[in-house]
Amino acid sequence: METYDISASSPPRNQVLPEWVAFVLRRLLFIAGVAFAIVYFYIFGLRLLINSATVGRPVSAWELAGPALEETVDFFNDALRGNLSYVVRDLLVETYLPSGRLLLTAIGMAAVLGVVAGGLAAAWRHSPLALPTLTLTVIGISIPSFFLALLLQVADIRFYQRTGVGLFPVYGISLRRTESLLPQVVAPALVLAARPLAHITRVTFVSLSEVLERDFIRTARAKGLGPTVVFWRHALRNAGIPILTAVVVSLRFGLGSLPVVELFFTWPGLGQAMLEAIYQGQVWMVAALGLSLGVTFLLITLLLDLVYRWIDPRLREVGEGSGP
Amino acid sequence: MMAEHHKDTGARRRGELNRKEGKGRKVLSYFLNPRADLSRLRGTSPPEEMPERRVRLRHVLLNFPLLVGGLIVLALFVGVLFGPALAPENPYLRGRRVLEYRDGTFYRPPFPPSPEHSLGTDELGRDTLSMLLYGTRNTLVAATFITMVRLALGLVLGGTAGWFEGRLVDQLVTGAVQVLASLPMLLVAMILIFALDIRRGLPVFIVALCAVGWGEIAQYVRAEFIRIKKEPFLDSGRVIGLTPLGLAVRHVLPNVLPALIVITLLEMGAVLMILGELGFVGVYIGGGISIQVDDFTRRQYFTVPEWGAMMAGSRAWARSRPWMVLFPAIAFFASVTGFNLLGEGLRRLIERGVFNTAVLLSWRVLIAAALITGASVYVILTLGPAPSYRHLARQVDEAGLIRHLEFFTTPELEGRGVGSEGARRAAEYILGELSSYGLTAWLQEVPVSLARPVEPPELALVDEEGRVLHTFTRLADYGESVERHGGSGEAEAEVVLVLFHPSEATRRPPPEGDPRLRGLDLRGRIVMMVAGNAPPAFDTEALVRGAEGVLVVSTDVTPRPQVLSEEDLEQPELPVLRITPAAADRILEPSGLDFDGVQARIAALEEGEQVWVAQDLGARVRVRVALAPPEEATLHNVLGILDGADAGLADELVVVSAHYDGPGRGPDGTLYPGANENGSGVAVMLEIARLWQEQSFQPRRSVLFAAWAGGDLRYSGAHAFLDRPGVLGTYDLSAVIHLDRVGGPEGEGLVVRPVSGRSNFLNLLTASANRLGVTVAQGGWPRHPYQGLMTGRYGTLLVTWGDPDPALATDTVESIDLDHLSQAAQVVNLTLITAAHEPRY
Repeated sequence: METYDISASSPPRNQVLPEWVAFVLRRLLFIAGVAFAIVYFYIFGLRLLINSATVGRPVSAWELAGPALEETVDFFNDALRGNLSYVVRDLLVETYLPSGRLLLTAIGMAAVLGVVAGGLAAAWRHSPLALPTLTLTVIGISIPSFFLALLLQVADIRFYQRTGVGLFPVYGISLRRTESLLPQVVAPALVLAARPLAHITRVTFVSLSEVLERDFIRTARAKGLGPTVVFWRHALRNAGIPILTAVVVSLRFGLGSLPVVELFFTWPGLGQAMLEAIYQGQVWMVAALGLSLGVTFLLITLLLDLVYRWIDPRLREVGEGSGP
Repeated sequence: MMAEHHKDTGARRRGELNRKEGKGRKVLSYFLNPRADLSRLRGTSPPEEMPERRVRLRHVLLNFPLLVGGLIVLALFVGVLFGPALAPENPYLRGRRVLEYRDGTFYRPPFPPSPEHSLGTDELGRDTLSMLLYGTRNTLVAATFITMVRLALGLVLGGTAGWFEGRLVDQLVTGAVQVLASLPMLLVAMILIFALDIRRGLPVFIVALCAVGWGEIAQYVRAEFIRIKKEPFLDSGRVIGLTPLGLAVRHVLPNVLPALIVITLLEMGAVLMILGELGFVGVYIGGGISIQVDDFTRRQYFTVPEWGAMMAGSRAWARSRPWMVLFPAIAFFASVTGFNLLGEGLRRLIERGVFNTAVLLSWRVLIAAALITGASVYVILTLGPAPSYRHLARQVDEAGLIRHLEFFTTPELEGRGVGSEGARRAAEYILGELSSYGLTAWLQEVPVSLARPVEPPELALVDEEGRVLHTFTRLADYGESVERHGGSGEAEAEVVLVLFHPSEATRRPPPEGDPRLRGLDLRGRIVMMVAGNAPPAFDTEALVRGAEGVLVVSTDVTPRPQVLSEEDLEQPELPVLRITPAAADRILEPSGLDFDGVQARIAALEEGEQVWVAQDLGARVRVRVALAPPEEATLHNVLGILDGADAGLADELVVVSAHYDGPGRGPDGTLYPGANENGSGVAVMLEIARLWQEQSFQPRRSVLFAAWAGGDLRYSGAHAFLDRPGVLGTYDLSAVIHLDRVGGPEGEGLVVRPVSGRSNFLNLLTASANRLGVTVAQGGWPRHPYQGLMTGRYGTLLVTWGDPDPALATDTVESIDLDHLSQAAQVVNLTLITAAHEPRY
């Protein structure tokens, strides 16, 4: 323990594959392992759930651990051969896209608005408004999704009562019924985007403010570069990693609130389907939906890791990444 | 540096916030105190400097997040401590409101905000404000516990991982954190909670939310440990010989502490948020109870007032009844904001060095932490319905009990003799009281026919010359009976003991005479036999065989004046008395026998030709009974029903029963006040009804308060009530408790006799008594015929204080032990509250 072995973080460089390919392969292997763990967790959990809800004398948890493992193996067996029940398959396909659309809209909106707002705030970081902005973001992070959804709904109803114009459908959304998706996605996406927006704004503001005070920025300005170039090329790129990390964290926020928002707006997505499946005790359904959620999240983080390495050359040299 | 960021999102996130603060301070000090810029010159020539305390104060006062967050958290703390005291009603006890009538219109719950319910009610009519105030305690205590366990878990796991960076432990922890990160926290927590069985309440939530939520803290702690481990001051610690654990605790931990405090506050916010979201999707502490709304619909209602639970089902109401959902949602938003703002403000303070966290590692803080933990444990223990019930049960008013008893024993009521004017007045009194307590109360008339003695009956032990050796006391030693041939008559004769083989005793003889009794000659003698040991209609046989009187040994010697059928008082009559075993012993004495011996002999009888054994006892007794002709009387049962508040449980009936009349004035003019014997049970019953109304306790099951008339009779008011189709038919009898002689001075504690049914109710009563510190024993005998009636599904109990013999003439209010009476009332009250309110017990 007294000697610190740093070789672990810089492996020998006699590899055949390009460095980044090896990295991606390593990560994919890891994702496969995690996927197994996820499915095992869901199946075990659901079996326990059904067990504890039975009226008779429930079995002890340890007696279920073994069968759950076998069931997990079965699940992957079927899933990899495409033998999953068509109900599961259809529902997965049917719910995955709407959820993805909603989440992507929300996080995309949050990221763009958040970076812009945070950047502006950082640019005027010496103004007296800077600190209140920071405080405001704290409050933004504290808004529970159900509260915001409720407020939006009440506001929309009041507005409709006042003017006769509905701003957006607030209830009973069905993707099949209407043609235009845009108005439907507004309310849930706004709700889902609120906390990520506050979080990304905050992180952008903080990290950009810090970078903008660095010496190399002053050097760049001294060289005669315009403020726009300095901002985009020097400052933003240096603040990029924390901002991207914030986006990943936001994605977690979003995934966490997804069932709530979908339930509130009856958005036919993964979260609501999973809630339903849990209440119904549909083991494989939950496992399939949960697996798709988890793997998606892991793949996105992998993608972001690659983007990190593209943004920050230093990471490439280290050659190790266990992901954010 | 960058590699570290890259590895560690949690650390990264918080780290960059930390770094930014340098700027914030500069901006703030520039605008608020331009002179502060000079502070960098402090080392050389300090200009006029503000006292440090004032600087500190200024930092605190200008820290908006700290102030606002602190205020909100303080308000929440007050809510935790005093919320229940401030609430207009107790949601644990208050049942639903069904209809409200205002300005000529009926309203159904949920009621909108109004002067009466400032924040409206939920769909069961429970007051939102009260539930919010009670919920503050439940929700925040839950959140605090979860946060603390998360913190401990994160600290230990993250610290270990960071200290042994790169080893197996580290890889395991890091891997687990990543798996957790890829799971949607809400759904996973929900599965865990259901898997561990939501009905177990708070512990399940703590386990589940900690299992899914320790990752971020662990990640942060791990990164900090890795960073600090490489600092040079750790080497110096190592040099002076500190163990790794010592190093971690003494040198690494204090460096992590400031950030940990902030993280704890932010974590509180996060935990509250997820509690709210769980509640929204229908997962809340305890899981609620399921209620059948109609044939096809079952709805889940929460029982523990908690913010998350109040959010449940909010989607259905959000549009039409926004107030139902809005207020708990605001509560969540405000408290999450409060904790996050406080965390933010504290972080600013810490970064400016105004607040030295090293202070926190002193013994004083340790004591404070211990105190707070103790207080939380206390709150946890006083949380939930049980303490509320107990508090309500304890409020039995002794003055009220005495008031009822004093009314019952006033001389004008003449001891409330069965069928007398006094009993009728007592019934009207009880009716009035029950009605005034908001019960649906009514009288039930029960016609009876009574043949009462015109002069005092006599039973005495005499010698050959007719001199009285011993006089027995009516009611205490014997009582007359008018069953069949029993009636008026006078006799003085030898006593013969007649015993029957137990298996023959119950066989009904042919109407023309019993051939089994051939040879039994009872001429000129008085028969003594044991109750239940003679063949049916043996009195006729005894009469035919020349007996002059009958003595039946029984534990129940209450006079039986009731003429039930045409067979009663059948001519010719002979005196029939029921005597106690003690009186029997007295008569048996000359023959060297006693009652126990007699019973042993019955048991030892061999099966043979002869089914009877007759033995002259060598004792003479004189018996005299003179009855008036039967007269018609009307008895009045008083019944009061309190409707159950719960749709699913209102069909189940809990019965609390006692009788209110007694022997009244005897034929010799003795007054039997019956304070304990016939008054105490009804007094307790009335007091409970009063208390429930005063504290607006609404039971979930329906409760029947029954004051029976003719408690001493073979066919009492209770029998008549049960025989008459009506009330009971529509209910499912859940539990029955008969109260009898609950205020006597004798006895150490309650004596309970399980009459029938399951043992749940008995266990409940025992537990209630233990909770109130009252001793309780099993035993006792039913002294009144109606006490064997009615079978509650959860059990039927007969409750007495001690198991005393009747005191009769001396049974006045003065002889009542108020302490005993009040304790009995409390136990019965707690038992009834629980039985009426808990879905299962």
